Amino acid sequence: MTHLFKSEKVQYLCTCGSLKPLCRTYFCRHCLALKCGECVFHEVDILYCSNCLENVPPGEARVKKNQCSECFECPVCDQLLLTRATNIQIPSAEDSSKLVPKKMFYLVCGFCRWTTREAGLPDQPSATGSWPDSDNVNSVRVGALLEHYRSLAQLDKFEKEQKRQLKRRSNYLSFTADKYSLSALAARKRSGLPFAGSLGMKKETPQIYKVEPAVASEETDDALDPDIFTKVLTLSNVTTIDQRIRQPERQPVKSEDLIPIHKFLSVRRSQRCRFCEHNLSKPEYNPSSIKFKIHLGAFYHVPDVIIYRLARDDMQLRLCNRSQYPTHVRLLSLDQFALIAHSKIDELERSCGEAEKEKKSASSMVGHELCESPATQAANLKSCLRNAFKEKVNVVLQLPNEPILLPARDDLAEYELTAPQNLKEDPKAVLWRKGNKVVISAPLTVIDDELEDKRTGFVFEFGAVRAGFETKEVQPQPTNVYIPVFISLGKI
Amino acid sequence: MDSLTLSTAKIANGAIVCCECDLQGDITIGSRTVIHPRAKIIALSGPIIIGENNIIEEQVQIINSSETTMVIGNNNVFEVDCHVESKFIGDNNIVESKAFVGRQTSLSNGCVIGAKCEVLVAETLQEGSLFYGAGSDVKRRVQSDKPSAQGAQIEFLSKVLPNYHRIRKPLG
Repeated sequence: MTHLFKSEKVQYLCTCGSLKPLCRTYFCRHCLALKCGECVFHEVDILYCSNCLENVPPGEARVKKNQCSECFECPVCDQLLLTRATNIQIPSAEDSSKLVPKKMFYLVCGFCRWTTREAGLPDQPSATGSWPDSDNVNSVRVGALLEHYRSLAQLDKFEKEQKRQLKRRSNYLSFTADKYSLSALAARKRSGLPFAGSLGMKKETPQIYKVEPAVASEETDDALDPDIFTKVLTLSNVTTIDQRIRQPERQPVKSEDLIPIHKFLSVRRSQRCRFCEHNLSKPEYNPSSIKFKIHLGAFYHVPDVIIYRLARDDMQLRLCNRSQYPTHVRLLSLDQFALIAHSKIDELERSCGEAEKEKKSASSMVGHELCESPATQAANLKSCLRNAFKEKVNVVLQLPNEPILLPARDDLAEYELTAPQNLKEDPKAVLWRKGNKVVISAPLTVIDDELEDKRTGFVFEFGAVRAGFETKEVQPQPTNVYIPVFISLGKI
Repeated sequence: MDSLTLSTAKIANGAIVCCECDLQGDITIGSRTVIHPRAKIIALSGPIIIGENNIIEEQVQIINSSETTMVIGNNNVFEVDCHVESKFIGDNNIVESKAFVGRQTSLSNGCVIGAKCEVLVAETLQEGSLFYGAGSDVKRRVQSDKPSAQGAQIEFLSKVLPNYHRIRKPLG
């Protein structure tokens, strides 16, 4: 399936070194770097049922084993079960000889037409909430084992707490007790008696919940039916392994024992930058809403590069700026980028040395300071250089040298008929300009003809505004961000 | 448009066969069968006999490419865009949308061929068997609930279709 923007041909290099199309990356406005799905923290935001769109708080979800109470899945084919009603005639409550219609409900799968009647479950009088739950044969034993291990864990914790108190206490006492005559406690310690409940510690140690050890036996519950050797097996009566494992508590062997399964809850996640811990993507609380509270997709902040035309020796690229700020873009070849990067790294390391004189260590800086500190920026540039040169490139582009202005995205520009501003631009480099889109020409030179698939790369330099500085008086100054872009040209 | 050519289909009284459907060859259609426009029933070499109370929806292709007779029973439903070449189809079957039933398969009674399933297996299907899944990854099972009759649907179609489409005149 093709996608309008998810081109696998033009890929951006993320800070972790992986190549991703632009629409699959986020742009952290504090670090001013691209982050992809692999280098962000994924956190569980809310749990919800994808059918009834019901929000479930995490505590309640744990009790209900992460399952929705109202929605069911077909045990045969794993699709959603629909509720259907039939009318049956039953004697009415007042007059037992008269028959009144009553609605009875049963569940049916839309895909494989499995119904609850096949499991032998009777039709329910109410549409929701009255389907019987599967009973776990081993629940009593599992509960006893859980209690036992929980009490063991509590005992461990108590002992550790005691040891810690002892250790801490002993240091404290040795320094201060004799000096300030906290003699009662010191006396108790010398005499070896355990501590009294002066710190709120319980007097009695937690008891271990006793559980009967399991006894091994030769016969198992789920032995194979001896009829399998004598009678012909009808495959439609036997469950498949998938169907059996989907209900691990019961694991029914016969098809008629399959009962509807509660639907599992889905997770909405939010993404967070690993470095500066700012949120990159945070959805709304309401499960049926598709909007985001915070949505820092790179698509809306980083200019987009698309192959406009491609020939044997000429390529035209279209750059599109979808952010709110106009930006100046420069396309650098990898060698030019290396030169600029090295000089910047030297400059940053020099200022890094000066910052150290003010005794600011990396661990004490948080948030803005961490992202902006020269040490961080130098490290980022170094890793970017290293990752960029790992990619193999066999076609070289001749890129325009001057910075190209990309205006901000303006939704009203479609309706304005004014001509674009007069800019001094090389007409051979910038071929076409409309609103926030620019087409530039980049002639190709193949340097290595061995491989059929040609790849080229360049580094995108554009100005981005660092977050956290927007005040009304001062117009934020854009800082230069360098992102390597690699284009696979295929066979040309 | 087939309304200009003389078709040789024998349409019983009470059958609703739209003019825009494509009938070729020796076809017999039973009464109260509804054939939607754009259906294709092509009896290339051998005749096709369609029973009563069937519903054949749009884009359905029922093709008989062998020389023996193809028999379709009563109360069947052929949903949109299914492709049937099977020689023998019994009663009360449902062939869902975009399904394909091959030449060597025969459906007995009460079978359901799920949407987009390709059934090419060379056997007569057991009563009430059901195929589901997609494309070639088709699974089968036997269902106990028989598909319900389509009487209400046929009545409704018999009243509504003539208002919007030209109907072929039944012969005899």
